[in-house]
Amino acid sequence: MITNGCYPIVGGNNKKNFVTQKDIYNQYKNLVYNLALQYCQNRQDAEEIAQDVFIKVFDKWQTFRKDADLKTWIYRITINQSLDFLKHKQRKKRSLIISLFSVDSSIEENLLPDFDHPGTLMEQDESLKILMQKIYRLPENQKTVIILLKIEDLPQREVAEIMKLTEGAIESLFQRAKASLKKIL
Amino acid sequence: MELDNLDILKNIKHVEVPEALYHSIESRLEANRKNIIPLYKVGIAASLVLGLMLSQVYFLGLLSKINQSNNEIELVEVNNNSLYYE
Repeated sequence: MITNGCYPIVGGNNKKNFVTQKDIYNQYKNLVYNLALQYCQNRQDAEEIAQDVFIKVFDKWQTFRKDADLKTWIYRITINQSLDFLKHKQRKKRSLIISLFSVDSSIEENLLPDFDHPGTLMEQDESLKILMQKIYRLPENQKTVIILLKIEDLPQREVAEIMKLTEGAIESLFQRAKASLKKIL
Repeated sequence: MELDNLDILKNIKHVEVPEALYHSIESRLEANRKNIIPLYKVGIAASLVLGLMLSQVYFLGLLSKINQSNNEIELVEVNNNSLYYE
């Protein structure tokens, strides 16, 4: 971990510059917090994920390849952190439900998140909530591709780079995600 | 619901990040830093352990030398059959 608060970064002219912790935070806070919010769908969890992401970013700064794109790297950390957080939370909820009721029925319904997404408008709230809950139940890769393409509105090329897949694979993953959503609905 | 129209998701607005978030991150980083033991302290502890081990080896060597000389005294052969002060 860097303790003096200055993080080396390679600028556009290939010169080594230094940025502070606060600079990095200010530049990427919206990206990290909002992306976490799309995964966990409530403010409290999004804050927790965002904290974990920035701590990881500052902690692993020295392992970041300076020729790689910082934004892509931060996207990946946020996605992985969000998915880990959801897995951990679901595991905890599942074991609690099983220990309370000793039955597996209605577990899927109870595993859905407490929807508290501040980014949804009031009139669309209910339909968005239903759609978001269906997205929440998709497999990890399919969920990620829908969030990045449709909510974050990123171009397919950038999504492919973030997910380390080809553009063709992203397209077919998106089609599969749509088919899965149809089945859930 | 019109499933093909996933464009409804584009209506989700990006929200402002809570002010307190950076302070929470800073305090967690500070707590992590406190848990890290500085390298010079690790060095002092390691050299103390090494010193203890070396002194133990030295004193054990010294002790075994004394034991050896004691054993040599015990093994002095007696060549006559005379009893004490005969």
